[in-house]
Amino acid sequence: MRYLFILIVLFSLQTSHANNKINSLADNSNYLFIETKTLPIVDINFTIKNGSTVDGTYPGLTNLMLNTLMSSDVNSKKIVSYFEDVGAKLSYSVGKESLSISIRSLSDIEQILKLVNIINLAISSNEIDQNIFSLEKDKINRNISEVEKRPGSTLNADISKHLFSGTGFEHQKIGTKRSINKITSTQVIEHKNKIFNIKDIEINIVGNISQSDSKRIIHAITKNMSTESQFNKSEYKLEQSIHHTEFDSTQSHLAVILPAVSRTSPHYHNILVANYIFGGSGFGSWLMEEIREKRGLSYSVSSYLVSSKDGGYLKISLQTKNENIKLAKNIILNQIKRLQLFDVTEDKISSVKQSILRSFEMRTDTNKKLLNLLSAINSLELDLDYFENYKNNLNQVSKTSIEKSLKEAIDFNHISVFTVGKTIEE
Amino acid sequence: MNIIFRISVLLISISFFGSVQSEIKFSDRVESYTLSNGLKVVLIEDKRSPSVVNSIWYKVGSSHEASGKTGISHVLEHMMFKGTKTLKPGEFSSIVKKMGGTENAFTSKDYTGYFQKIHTTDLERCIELESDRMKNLRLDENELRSEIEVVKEERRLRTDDNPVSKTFEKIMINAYGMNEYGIPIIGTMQNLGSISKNDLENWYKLHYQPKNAIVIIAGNFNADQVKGYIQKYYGRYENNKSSIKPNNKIEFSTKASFDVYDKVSKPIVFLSFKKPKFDKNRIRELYALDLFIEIMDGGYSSRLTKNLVDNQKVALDIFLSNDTYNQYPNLIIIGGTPRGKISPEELKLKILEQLSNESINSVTERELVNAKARIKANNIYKFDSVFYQAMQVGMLETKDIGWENLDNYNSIIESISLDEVKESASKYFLNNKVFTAILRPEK
Repeated sequence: MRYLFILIVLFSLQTSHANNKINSLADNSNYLFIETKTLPIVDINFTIKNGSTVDGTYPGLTNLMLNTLMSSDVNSKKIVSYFEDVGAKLSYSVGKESLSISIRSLSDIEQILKLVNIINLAISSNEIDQNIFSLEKDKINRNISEVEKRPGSTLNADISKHLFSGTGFEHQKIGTKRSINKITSTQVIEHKNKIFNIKDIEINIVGNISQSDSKRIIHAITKNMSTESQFNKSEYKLEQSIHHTEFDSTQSHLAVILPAVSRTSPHYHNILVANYIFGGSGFGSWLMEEIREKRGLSYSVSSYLVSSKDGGYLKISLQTKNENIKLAKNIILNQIKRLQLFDVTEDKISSVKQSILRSFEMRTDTNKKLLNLLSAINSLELDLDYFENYKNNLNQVSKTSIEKSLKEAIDFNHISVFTVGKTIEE
Repeated sequence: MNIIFRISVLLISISFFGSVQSEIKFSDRVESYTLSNGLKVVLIEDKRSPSVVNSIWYKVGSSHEASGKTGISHVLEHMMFKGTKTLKPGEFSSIVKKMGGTENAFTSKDYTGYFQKIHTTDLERCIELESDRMKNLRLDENELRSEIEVVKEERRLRTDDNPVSKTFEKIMINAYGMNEYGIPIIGTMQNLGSISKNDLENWYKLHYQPKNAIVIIAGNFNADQVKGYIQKYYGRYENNKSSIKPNNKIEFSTKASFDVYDKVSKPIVFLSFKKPKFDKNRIRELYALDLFIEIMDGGYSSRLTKNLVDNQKVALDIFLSNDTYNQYPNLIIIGGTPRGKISPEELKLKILEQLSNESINSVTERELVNAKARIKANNIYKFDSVFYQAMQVGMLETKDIGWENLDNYNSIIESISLDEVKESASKYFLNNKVFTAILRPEK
């Protein structure tokens, strides 16, 4: 337990200091950092709270913008070259609700500042190389075609389309070919200028770096950035759907989805423990036992609690040979009924709580994991004494509280079922 | 021509080469020794967190299998979670889960490994559990039949419904037949169905012995205590009398080129070059080859991407795969997706141009310096994870290449000259036959 305690203290001190000082620089409280001195590494993540949900009438616009931006040249040299020439790493991605740029470097502050300046220059630029723009469009169009060739990707596209119909969550972040082909470089620049702004940026820093140097990094990335947020949040609304896509594959892919809880819901920790027992913890969970261990129906079956700030759902997924899909689906639906009844002993719940708490200590043992945790705390606007709160909330979970949450927070009459695969006549 | 962003800061024109080059060495944190029964032990201390990785590695993988029983090492890996004389099926996983730990296993062409990542206070129990299944595995016919179905589903998921994986499998079989690295790790669907309990028992007895295993523990632990646990739980075992015999080679013929048709939106070109097995006596030449490969494909700014994707616009992407420490003859595979109206055949020629004498001789000192900087930094980044530290050691030790080579690698890489890089690249690419496979959209 010694480590957890030290980490809590370290975390609280560092983040509060970082916030105070950075607030005075940029009038923004979304900057977190943890100082770790054991390795000469610094990990930095910039997250912008605008993802593919703000694509508007051009699905794929945010993703195309970020890919074009990061593939560009600064001073006649590719951005990525500046990083790779010194052994630093640059990665970036777009999600539904945010986009993210990450840097990993050896802990040489002057080198890091140069790299961050390159990113800032790219973000500030209002010019686009048409060759790069055209290449990124070709790459994305190929990826869109590949999605249609993979049963797993097709399943995910079906889920977004049918569950989030009419919202910004409906389309895939890579967009559609029709949209990608229509987007102009002027639209990309305009979109970029709206996306990157100080109000929507969160910065997380972990590693062998001082608080004052962290401030320099934050200043370097945010300088000249607009202070106005331009987008309204997209509505989070979960529809119900039963959908099948016929697909020529050896396996059928199945997803069963139930509306669940947001990350900030008071029911969250109860549902977390219930899902751990149900299918969220691999071997020994009900789903793994019934599907894989007893019947050998699937290599992988899981139940994942997808929780964002505004909503959430339980996503149960598996793959099995086409002949077995009906059997597997029926087993899953029966296990959902079992979850609703939740005939579990207090001893089992107590044991699960201990497992989760114990595992929590080991989920922060690398700089990369600490960075991911900071990003989550930042984007979900969780408390800075997250570790303490997490532990306290989990300790309060009981059979009664789980039963209450299952009843109040999970809509068992709102089950959606998606399948992709080849129908085999019985 | 590239349009340049407006530049308002002078900083970016400053050279980037004065970076921190701190060095972290395995020798500062590793202790290794061998028990009297032949079990090798490697302890890697890293006390950044309370977690520790307990792992055991057996020197057996698909390359040791014989035609007709392919996939047996991987099936045995699955069955190792199905109980021992004292544990019920799934109980091992259940115990680790209660500890809040994570566990898994992996099979490769050369080795099979098992690990648990747990709190340091649970280390003794995990060493005890892991040692138990080295000797006391209980194989049940019903469990086996059910698990074979799981493995078949794994094959469908990872290979049969994945055109790129399927093509890689065909390339290896074409190059080596059902021998050594030609054998697919997961096995063929036909062979999976024929693996019996008796086959598994024999495979287990033959390969799961102290003299054929390495225990690697990485993370936060007390070294003296751990040595005591290892002696207590593994030191009591003797080796079986059976000894491993090499398989007879299966005859096969290799095609210089072949096509695969599958569900892809665009064709993908795969060019393969044969490479002999790792030889310690040629270590500078092989590390020089690593540097050339880093220069060609070490990142998005490397030669292949820069020249073929960005400048010539003939490819959408490029990839390269190579294993430095291959125990058996292996392939260096280079490939990519043609862009627009470029045909796979045209892309093939463009890739080969990048491997021509002229191209190899145009490699510059600056490219070499950058490649060395990337390799050096990557070696530091790897220390962020205790699991990955154990992986690096295990991947060498199972091939009888000592962990000491992880440190030597850095110093040798640093000393390799541009001429050595060019010479090595010429040997492996210029004076070598190329094998071609093209994955095409199905008709």
